[in-house]
Amino acid sequence: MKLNKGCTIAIIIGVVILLFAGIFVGRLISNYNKMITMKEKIDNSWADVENQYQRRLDLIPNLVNSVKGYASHEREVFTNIAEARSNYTGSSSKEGKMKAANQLEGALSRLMVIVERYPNLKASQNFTQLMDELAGTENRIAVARRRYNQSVKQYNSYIIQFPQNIIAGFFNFEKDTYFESEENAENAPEVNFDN
Amino acid sequence: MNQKKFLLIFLIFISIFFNFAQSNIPKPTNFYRDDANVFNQEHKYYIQKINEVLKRNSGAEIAIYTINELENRDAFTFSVKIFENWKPGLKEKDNGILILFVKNDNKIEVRTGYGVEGFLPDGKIGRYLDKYFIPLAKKNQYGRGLVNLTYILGLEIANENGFNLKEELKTRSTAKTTKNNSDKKEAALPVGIIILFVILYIFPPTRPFAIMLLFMFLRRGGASGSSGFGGGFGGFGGGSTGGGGAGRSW
Repeated sequence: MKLNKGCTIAIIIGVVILLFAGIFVGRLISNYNKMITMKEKIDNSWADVENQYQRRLDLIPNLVNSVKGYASHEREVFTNIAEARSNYTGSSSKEGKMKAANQLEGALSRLMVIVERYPNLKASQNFTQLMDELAGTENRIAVARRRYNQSVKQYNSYIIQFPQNIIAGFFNFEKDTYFESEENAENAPEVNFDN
Repeated sequence: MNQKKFLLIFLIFISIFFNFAQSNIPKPTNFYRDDANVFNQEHKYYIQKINEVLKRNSGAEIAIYTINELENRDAFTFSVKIFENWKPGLKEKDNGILILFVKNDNKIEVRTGYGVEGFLPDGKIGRYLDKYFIPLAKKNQYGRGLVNLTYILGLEIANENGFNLKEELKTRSTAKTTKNNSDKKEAALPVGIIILFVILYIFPPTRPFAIMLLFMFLRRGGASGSSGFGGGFGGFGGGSTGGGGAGRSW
């Protein structure tokens, strides 16, 4: 039995359309999965930022106590630090935590300025060790933040491209927030052993 | 004709690109890369031996990079970049350490991998720097200071992993490792020559592409030849860092 020409062409076109549709749907699914993975990566790197913040928070009581031994009259700085600290633990959103962390950074850098005025404090070995731990923590925070921003950048630029933007719109994938440090927090507590 | 010209330009671009990529983050040639020329043969020997023992017993690696100038780079950020690029330490254990030494800026940075942070916290590293490195650095004995530091960090790693670095350094014969390595190199040479002949057969060197391949091949051969100091280094293990460690200037 022979099929007529028109029928053959129709079947070929049908198969081609099906094929393309299949490829398209396959791509949509894989793109969707990729977005999920990228979002996961952002969550992971944010968790790492939070870990490092926790580390900083854990260091602060020790630090404050050792400075207080020499400079108990510098009350303002200590209240600022305590305030920023409770702000951080009190906020549950990512944005709130970012803001509180920046505030804490500013307060800590003022503490470091005060420390410069007490050479005896700076010379003690205990304090040197604390300073190393703090500097290391600040460094870790910088690294964790950079990695977080990188993963956000990857994700944000991925979801606005075609055809991912269609899926993103359909499944409500939204742009994530970058971490930006505030103006007054730019000079994060810098530990200086030169003098 | 036109195609040949195009290929020639392409070739030039490729070589420029590769050169740039190389000069950006230099590759390690051994457990150390001594661009500031602070090590003598003895220092190099010790650093290599310590690393070989550490690697054999725990997979840990202590990479050292010495440079003359930072050239407007931040020491900490640069050390993290080098660590991310070289990846000292095992991938599964992240037990690598990187020491970045900047001679003319009087700076040193020690970066620890995630797996090292626990037994070598930042405060301890700072203390070791003050005690074992800074006094020697102030006397311009950089090589000795860096070997000292490598040794003391190595002791901590050995302690954590339950072996005795001092004893291992004494007892393990040096002949064994060097022999193994030269064997490997001898075996690699004929294979390389066969590959070269196959390439030459498929692409006679009249074509620019083949010439490019030939150049790439020769370059590789040259590079591995220059790094062949006593052997023992086959690239780092894939470790990563979170930015831990400490730094000092003097």
